[in-house]
Amino acid sequence: MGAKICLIIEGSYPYVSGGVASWAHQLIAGLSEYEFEIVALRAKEEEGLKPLYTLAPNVKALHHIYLGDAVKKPLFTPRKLSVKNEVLAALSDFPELSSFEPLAKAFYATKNKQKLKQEIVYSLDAYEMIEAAYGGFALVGKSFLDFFWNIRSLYLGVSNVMLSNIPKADIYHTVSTGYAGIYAAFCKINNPDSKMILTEHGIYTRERNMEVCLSAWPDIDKDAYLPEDGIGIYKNLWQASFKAMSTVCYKNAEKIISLHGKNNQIQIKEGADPAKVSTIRNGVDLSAFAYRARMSMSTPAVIGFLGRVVKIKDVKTFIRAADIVLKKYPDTIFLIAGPYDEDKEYFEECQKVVELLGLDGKLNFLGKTSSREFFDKIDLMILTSLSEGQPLVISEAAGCGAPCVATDVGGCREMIEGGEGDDIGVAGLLTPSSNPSATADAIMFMIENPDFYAKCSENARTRAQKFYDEKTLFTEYRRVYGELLS
Amino acid sequence: MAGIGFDLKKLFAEKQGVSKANVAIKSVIVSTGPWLISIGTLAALLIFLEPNMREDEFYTLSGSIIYTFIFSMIISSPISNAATRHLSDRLYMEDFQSVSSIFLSSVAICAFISFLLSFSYVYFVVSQSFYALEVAFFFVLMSVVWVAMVFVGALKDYNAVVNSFAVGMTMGVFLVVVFGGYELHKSLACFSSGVAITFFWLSAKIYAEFGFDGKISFGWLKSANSRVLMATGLFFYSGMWIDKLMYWGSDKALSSATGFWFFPSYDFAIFLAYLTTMPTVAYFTVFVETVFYEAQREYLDGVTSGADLWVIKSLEQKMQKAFFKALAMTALFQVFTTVTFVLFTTFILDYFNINLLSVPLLRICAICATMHILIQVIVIFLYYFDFQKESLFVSFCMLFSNFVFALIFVDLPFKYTGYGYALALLLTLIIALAVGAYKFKRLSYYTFTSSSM
Repeated sequence: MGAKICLIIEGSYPYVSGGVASWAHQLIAGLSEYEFEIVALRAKEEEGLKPLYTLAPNVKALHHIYLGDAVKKPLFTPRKLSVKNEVLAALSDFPELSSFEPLAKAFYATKNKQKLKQEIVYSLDAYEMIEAAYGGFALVGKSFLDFFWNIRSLYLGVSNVMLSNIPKADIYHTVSTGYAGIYAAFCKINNPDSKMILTEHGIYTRERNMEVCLSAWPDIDKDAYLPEDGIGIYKNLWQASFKAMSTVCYKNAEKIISLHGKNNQIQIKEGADPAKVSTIRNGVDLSAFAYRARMSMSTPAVIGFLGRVVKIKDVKTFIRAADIVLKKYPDTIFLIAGPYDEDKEYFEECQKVVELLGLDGKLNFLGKTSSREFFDKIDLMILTSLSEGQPLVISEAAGCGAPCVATDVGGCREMIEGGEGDDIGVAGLLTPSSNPSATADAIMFMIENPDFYAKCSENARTRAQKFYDEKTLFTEYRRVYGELLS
Repeated sequence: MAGIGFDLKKLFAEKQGVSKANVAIKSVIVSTGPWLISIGTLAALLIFLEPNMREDEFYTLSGSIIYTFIFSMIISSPISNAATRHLSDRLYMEDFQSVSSIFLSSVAICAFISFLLSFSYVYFVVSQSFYALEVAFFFVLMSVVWVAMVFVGALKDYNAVVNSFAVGMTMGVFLVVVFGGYELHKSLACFSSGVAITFFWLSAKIYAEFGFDGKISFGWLKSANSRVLMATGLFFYSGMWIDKLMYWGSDKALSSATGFWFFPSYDFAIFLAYLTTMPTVAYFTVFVETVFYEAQREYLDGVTSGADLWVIKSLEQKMQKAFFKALAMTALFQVFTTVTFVLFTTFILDYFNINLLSVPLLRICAICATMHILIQVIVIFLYYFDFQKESLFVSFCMLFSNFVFALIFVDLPFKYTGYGYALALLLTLIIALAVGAYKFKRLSYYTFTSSSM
């Protein structure tokens, strides 16, 4: 066996399916000469939660870190925070966190981790630091109670990460910045012979910022969350914290990888060293996807959406686009394939929209389906995501010869129109996000222009073969791991 | 008690002249009524029986009654302490259905312990006869009456509390006079019947308000909170009595062939001194606790309604001031009452040349009563902010220090009687003040970090 890689994944593999999870599973299986240990970061421990993937034989251990892991109040509340000086030093230039390293070392050196966690949550020192921070922000008229709980939640997550054990590994490979990134940096700092890699699928800070803006917040002090002149102090606080986590991660990683060039630019803008930044595209096993040359759409046309039924995929835009198309082409068949148990409330909302628009029987939810069979069945793949890294479904659909209409997010443009050094031609159409009319227009354009559709189908397959074959992915990661280990 | 305090304060504000004096009397009756009525009727009973009863029977009966009065409070206070807190939590959660079960379980556990202890003591030490069973029933009734009183008090029906005690205890004396025949067994049975009336009155009040479902559950007693509160109640009341019990067991005590021991000089001085705290309790309930309660409400409202840190800090300072002002006012009132009382008592005793009481002992006991009430006030305020461990600590200090000083002082000459208790209370008061000051100085810290995450 080769060296040991510790793959650090937040809120995904092996318990949630999707792009990142598929990528992780594929990478581990593809690089069988390496041993892997997986650290799964999750919000909290859930009873009866079972992995959705069968772990490959080269996975030697699966560890868990629960960010919201509660800490019991001690009988006697501690006065002192033993790492106070290190915390103050690290926070002195927040969100830069230039002194993160001494802090990480101090946390690691602490023998009684449970005691330190209690100090962090309950000590007088920690409380006074929150008061001082509140004073520093000069939040006159803003709820201190809200500020206190926001900060407390934040540092509970960070301390749960930094008080966890460190699996011995040669490379700590994190799949995002955020808590996973902080943990990878923490591991690397305290295991000086090791290296650290970041493969960022989406840009974590941007995705979390979007979640923060969309999330519901307590309404004790509405002005603090939704003032007229911005997004609110507490949302700003969370955003600054995610930024700080990214900064630490970028600073400590030897290699910063993204799935497409556009994200590399964002990473640099967010503070990543351009010399560390590179692109390794996701790939699929094209031999598993039977190519069928498509000269025109079937009659009636079959339009498909494959993905998790969750908010960020914006399934409602797909449903509304279907409604528009069906007004002109009433026989068209719309299919939504993918698991819907991750956000049941959203799934029920989608069903309600289908019902209200009278699309029953014309638009069907298939649930979790084999992607190979699904792409063989459909003429056109639709992606309406609000945010993406480099969606595997486009590559898989392309492998089958199905063109794609996708929102212009993440790496979609590169996958549909081609990036640097790619003059194959368009393999579908791009649309703005949250725009059902634009999506519907693109679908109808494909129906009405069979030559364009056929060309897109051919280009899709060619691009997939050239740029999105998993063999390329494995070769690239072998090279990266090899470089770092040498 | 803050609820009744507000009602009485409002009455004070509305009334003038003589009416204001009536309100003052009402305040004393409402806030200390059950104890005054109990002490008054017990004293009346003993005065009535003494000339006509056989001496040994009289001493047995008076011993049984006085011991029951003291120990029933010690035994019921842990249960009452934990039960009232649990009851308040359930009422806050609007879980009115569980009131019946909490009450029934409190009464059951209290009755069980009371029966076991009192029966064992009387059977093995006093009299191995039917009388042991009679005393045990009387003891059980007194204990559960204190528990029921606390429940009805927590439901803010103070009139029911006072009325039930007035009617029940008076009826007890009346039954003794009419049917007791100056005979030990009959007299105790008659007085027990009166106490039973009080208990059933209070129970009826609880069940009329919240219904009776016959369910019983002891689960709430197992929580850490309940255990701390029970221990606090036990330590506080034991701490108050431990030195007296040790004096009763010493050579100074009047040995009784009936199995009850007393040290009348000290007992009487303490009894008189503690009587002086009754007006202070009323004053505290009406004028001090209400002000503190309002400051606390203002502070917590500020925190939960989204005040900024500077507003919270200013409310915190207001709380600190309220704490120290409350202590100062209570101390001032009690000192004034004590000085007046001691001067008056000394004058009366001198004037009539009565040598019933050692004046220096009365003085030191009066100082003890003053310190005791201040400690009690601090413990009450600690409860307000749920500083349970600290209340437990203060109560334990009182028990421990009183025990240690009693060990030292119990064999010293008579003139040192009461000084051990005084030193114990002084030490406890200093500790309680330090704990209170420390906690109230960091109130926001404790408030914000009080809940687990």
